[in-house]
Amino acid sequence: MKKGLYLIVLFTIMFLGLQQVNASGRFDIHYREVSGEVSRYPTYSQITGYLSNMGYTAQGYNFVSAGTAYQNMKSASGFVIHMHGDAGRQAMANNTYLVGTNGNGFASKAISDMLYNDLWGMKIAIYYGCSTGDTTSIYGDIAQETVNKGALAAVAWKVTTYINEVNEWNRLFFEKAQSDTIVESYRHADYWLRNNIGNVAGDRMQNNRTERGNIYVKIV
Amino acid sequence: MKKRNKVILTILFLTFTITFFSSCFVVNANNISSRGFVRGANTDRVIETKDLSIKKTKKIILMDNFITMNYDRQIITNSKVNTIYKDDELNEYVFQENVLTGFIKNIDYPELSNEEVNQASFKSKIASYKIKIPNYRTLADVTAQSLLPVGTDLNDYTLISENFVESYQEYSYNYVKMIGNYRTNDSVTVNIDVNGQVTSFLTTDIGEFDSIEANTINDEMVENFVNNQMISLHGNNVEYTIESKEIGKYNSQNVINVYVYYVAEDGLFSSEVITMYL
Repeated sequence: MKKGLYLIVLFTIMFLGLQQVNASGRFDIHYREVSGEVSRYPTYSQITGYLSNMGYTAQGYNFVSAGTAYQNMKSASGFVIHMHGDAGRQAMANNTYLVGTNGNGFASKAISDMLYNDLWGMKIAIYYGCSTGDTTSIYGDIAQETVNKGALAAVAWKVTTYINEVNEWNRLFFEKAQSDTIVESYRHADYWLRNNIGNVAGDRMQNNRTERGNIYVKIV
Repeated sequence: MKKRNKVILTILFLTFTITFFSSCFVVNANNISSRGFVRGANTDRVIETKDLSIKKTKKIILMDNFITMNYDRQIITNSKVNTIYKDDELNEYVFQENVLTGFIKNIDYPELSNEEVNQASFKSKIASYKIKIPNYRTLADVTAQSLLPVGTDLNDYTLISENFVESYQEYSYNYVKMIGNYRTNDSVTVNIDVNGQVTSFLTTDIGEFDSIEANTINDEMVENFVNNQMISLHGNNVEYTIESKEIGKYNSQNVINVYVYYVAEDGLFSSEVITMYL
């Protein structure tokens, strides 16, 4: 009896130990790779190694529709999206959109229509599309809606974003997030972006964020 | 029974050991490979590497403190080699051609629960900091001036933005040298925490554009160049707006970067940076 108990305890300890070092979930990274535009692929390719170090698998999606992204994000630990956007809505393929509120269930998928716990497994959602951080009376606040459905944190930008700046800021963010909190990763990305790309880029990405949720946590 | 238990225990122990250590090796391998690689074509301006021939330690005096630091890495951007050192507290120092151009203090923010972050007192504390942006301007001015080379006057720079960064609770002051209506990448940025301590600074391209005369830049020529580029990239019917223009460096040459947003084929906004050599 004692030995049986010993085995169970040992097995539990081993299981917990393995959980710490092996993959603990999936990050969905959406980008749009089209001819005539600067590549957004580095938003995905530059962070796969960092995510692997953190114990995550990285799933890249090149220009899929809102329905696919919406469904998959419910089982993701993280969500990064770098495509077109405008005030309060994130564009996806085939003229479909992710929005905060007032979706129509088809072309426009609203985060507010999810169940209250659909995003409980999500550590962070990052919306890089131009002006997706603006709140509008129709589409609401996409970052806040994401947190309302359970994500720990969400961030979007209130300005026109530029592809190379986003690619590099994103890389810097995840470089730091391997070991530090979200807020420390913001600070690291802001500082080194200004050094690596330039002062204008540093100002743009630092001073125009809509930050929601708890950023004083690690996403590892 | 006893023997079987021993066998099971041994198998479990071995499985655990192999899995644990193989995971560690994978993590280490990734760490090594993430150093010294060249990024894709669109971000080839940033290369991170480690030059083993660089002096391992360095000693400087900064803000009245004697600091010893160790070489950490190099960041090579489109026209500059940045050598990064770290001190024992993991504060980072940036040097270009042996001149200190940047510093960022290592700060470990406390991890907070959702309840703590959502407390009204936490939010009101941040709001109270925000209104104190002007309080630290003098300190920012003095710090910025001290970072400029002898003979360079901060009065030649424009304080283009002063903000309170709510997330990491720092005041950020950004001074930029203008040439006519053009912002340049000749800049000094100083960040100060809510206790009045300088937490980071960065200078970029100091004095690099001083030889450019404002009257040598022809706005019409720049706009025509942008128009031709936008048409060649996105067709004759492209609708675009010039958001801002900046004088910077590319491949060690002076350029004008024009930031443009345009209506893409899906009716939404996309962006483009048009770079023109001066």
